[in-house]
Amino acid sequence: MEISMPVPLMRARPAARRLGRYLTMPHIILAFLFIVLMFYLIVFPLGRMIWTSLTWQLGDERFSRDAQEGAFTLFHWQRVFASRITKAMVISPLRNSFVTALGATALALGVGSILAWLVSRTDLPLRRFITSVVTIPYMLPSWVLALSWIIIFKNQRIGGVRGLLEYLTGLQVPDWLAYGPLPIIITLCLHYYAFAFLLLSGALVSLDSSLEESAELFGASRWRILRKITLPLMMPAFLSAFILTFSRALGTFGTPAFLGRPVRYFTLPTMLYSNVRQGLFADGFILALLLIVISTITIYVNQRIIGTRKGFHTIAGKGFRGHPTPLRGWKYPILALVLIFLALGVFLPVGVLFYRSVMLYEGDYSLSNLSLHYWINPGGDVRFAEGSMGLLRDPMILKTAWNSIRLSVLTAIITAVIGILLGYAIVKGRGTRLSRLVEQMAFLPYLMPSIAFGAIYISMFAKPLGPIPALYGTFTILVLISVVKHLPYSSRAGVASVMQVAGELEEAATVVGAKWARRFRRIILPLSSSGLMAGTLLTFITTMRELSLLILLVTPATRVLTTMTFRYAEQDFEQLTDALAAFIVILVFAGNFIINRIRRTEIGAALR
Amino acid sequence: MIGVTLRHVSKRFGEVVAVDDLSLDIEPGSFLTLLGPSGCGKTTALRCIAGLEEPDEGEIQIGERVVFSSAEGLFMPPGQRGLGLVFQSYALWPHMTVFQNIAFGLELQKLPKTEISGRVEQSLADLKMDGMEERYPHELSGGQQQRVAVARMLAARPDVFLMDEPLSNLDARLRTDMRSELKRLHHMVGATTIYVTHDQLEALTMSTQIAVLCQGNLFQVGTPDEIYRQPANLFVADFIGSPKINLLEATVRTEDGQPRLDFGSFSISYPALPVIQEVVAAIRPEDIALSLQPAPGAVEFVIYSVLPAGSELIVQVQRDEVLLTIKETRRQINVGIDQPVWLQFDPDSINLYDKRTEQLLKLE
Repeated sequence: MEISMPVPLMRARPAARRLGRYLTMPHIILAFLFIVLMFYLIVFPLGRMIWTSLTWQLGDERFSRDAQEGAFTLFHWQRVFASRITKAMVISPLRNSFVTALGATALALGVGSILAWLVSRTDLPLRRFITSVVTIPYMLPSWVLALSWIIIFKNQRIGGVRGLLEYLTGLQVPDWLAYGPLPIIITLCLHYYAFAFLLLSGALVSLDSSLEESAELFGASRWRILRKITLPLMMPAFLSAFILTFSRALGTFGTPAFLGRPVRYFTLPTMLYSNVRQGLFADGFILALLLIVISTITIYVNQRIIGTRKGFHTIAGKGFRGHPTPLRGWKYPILALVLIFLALGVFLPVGVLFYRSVMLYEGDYSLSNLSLHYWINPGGDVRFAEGSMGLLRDPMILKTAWNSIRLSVLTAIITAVIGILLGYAIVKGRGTRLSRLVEQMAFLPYLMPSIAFGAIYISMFAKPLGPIPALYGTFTILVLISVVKHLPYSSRAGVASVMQVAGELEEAATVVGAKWARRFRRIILPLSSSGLMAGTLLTFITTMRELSLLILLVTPATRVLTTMTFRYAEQDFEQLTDALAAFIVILVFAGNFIINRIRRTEIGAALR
Repeated sequence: MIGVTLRHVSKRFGEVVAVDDLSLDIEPGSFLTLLGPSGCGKTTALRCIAGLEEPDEGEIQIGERVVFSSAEGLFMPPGQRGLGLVFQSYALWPHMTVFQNIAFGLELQKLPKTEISGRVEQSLADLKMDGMEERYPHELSGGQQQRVAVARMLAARPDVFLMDEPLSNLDARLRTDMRSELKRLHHMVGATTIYVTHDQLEALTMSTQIAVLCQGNLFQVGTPDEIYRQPANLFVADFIGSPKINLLEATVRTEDGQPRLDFGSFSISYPALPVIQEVVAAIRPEDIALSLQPAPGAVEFVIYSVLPAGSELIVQVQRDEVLLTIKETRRQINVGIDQPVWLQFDPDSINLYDKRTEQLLKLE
């Protein structure tokens, strides 16, 4: 009997089987899952936001009679970019953003590079102490420095109450010193110089010392070596630091909010916030898009610079081993300058913050006015802050603090787990288009300044979408946005951790018959987790001090400490603002202390 | 031509003693190799000579000038010592062309432009790198980068050449080629050269003098032949030579008035009577004669492993607990595992070492 089978059918089955096997591989499933998730959480909201800006919104009737809710229109774009209010809405804030960001970046880089050189290349005393102190301002929320500035330089005319300087000297502080671009630039510099310092000292330390030593052997002086060898080789790192700092300074919200709004000095982020607060969502979204575009351009330029380093193989195995430049006679004067700078830039702001939180009457900085009222009073005395209770007594504050901690812990844990899973999906599929797609999508949130990201999520979750309920106003959306914001970092950390493991170590388990879940649980997870620990605790700290990401999304029920501080500042409750900020500082320091104890890692290493 | 002298030089890094009371006399025009395993202090010693490290004690003299003296608190900066150094990583400045790399040192000597370009071209030609002036280091292969590094040192015409494992990043083939190039250069220029390496073959082939270091201590200085034929202690004996030397414990006995070395399972006669009785005998693999037939005075062994390698044959033979390595260069030998063979030793070529102190026993 002849059995004949149609040939095409026989050929199809192995192919179909292969496809089936491919689709059930764990890292493929994960990859697809992530792509869908990230599309929903990043790309789709972005599209939604663009769509909103191109359609009529509820409430637009007051601007135009053509307004039909939901219909396509270029009205909003025209309003923002080509109308009478363009100057106030876009041009001014854009110019202000650039001015402050450029000024702050230039200053921060100047200070940071000098400090980096002093610490890693000279024999300045107390180098280790300086290194650990320098990074403190970067641990604090950036706007804390702005608050401290106001405390010192506030003038009565605008602020209503005297600042410390006016109190001590009796002279009226001019407006341009108390608020506006100059204070913004200086306070931003005081925050970002630490960032520049970390980037540059890292580059300096990894420079192969034999490059400078060989020049030394030819008889070149220290100065010549610095000019002709060290600086040219540091150029890419320098430019990169400039661009990264600039891009962050551009998108910052807190500092321009505190120091700019009292004198109606707007930057793009604060203008965005204003629009959204007034219900002008479309206008706000357009500004958010503008911020995203600028940010994307700067990051792209940065990638190009790092990419075209002309193959600078300056990172040798042994790094910098050379002997430091002697400062000789300049040693102690320079040390004094550095210590003064640290005192003014680090200790003074924090100290002043704590001090004003224990002042009873505003404007009275004398020691007789000190009181723990704002920390522990039982409430009811309407003379002070409309009768609010002391910080540590107020159940609302404590609930807010709990929200902050809950948010940070949840974010940290979820981010860590997702990080490893993402890392696994990317590493196992290394080289495939799928893996590259996942990696690039995980990188997208990096392009969006936090305030713009918050705007995206307002548009996204205001209404329910299919099975997903409207998340606006819930705690869930805060966790969601925090996790997504950290995706670029957690995926990178995850990739690094998993790379060390998912190779022969996993294959050895596969060969003896372990299924994926067991391999992941028993081999990959334990071995990758140590690398993720430092990143996890760092996530905790950054979430604790997050303001611009959450300010547009919180409601009274879901407030966190940082947004609460902002509210108090808006209402001019000075001491409560400071007390709350001081409270956050304490929590952040406690968190960092725990990091150093458990893991003995430095924020500097993890930040890079 | 200028010589270099080190007197009682010591250098510590915290608890670790990198160089321990090193005294060395490097003759003008010689090619001296500092040889030893990793961590023996050879690179530190070189860097002390260069002035990139400051020793804790001692004196260093280059030619007539004392460039370092701990007793007098003297330290001459590296740039004034008139030395050239080729680093292991080549240290070519990546942002400069080959020409600029080589010209850098010459500009510092305030030479006129024509002289500079002349020297650059000359040194590139000497290293067979003509026409590469406008290339950047990353556009060159490893071997080419290495030549540029040497050219850079040559062009500056220093009194003394220092080289820190310059060939270790090259593949085996290139390494052997570069060895002969460097040796030719030394012959041509005649400058005193101090060379650091952990490769004993490199040291043997290139040097006029070898200084063997171990954990900061100088174990032996001598010509390659002296080091090979008369290693001063067991460490040097074991370190030099490929394949490794055979080291066997033995007891010295006399039989009928004639000295014999008793290895336990067999014994051989020996021409001299050492004062120490517990010794270690050092036998080079090529000094053992292998025969397939029994012969008078020969000792029977059994083949343990056979490693044919083209021009030579490495055989391991065993007798009780004794395992010996033999290098056989005759073509006709055809042996298999577990086959019995007969060995004949050449007592004149066997060195004896005091088992306790590990030092060579000088016998006459």
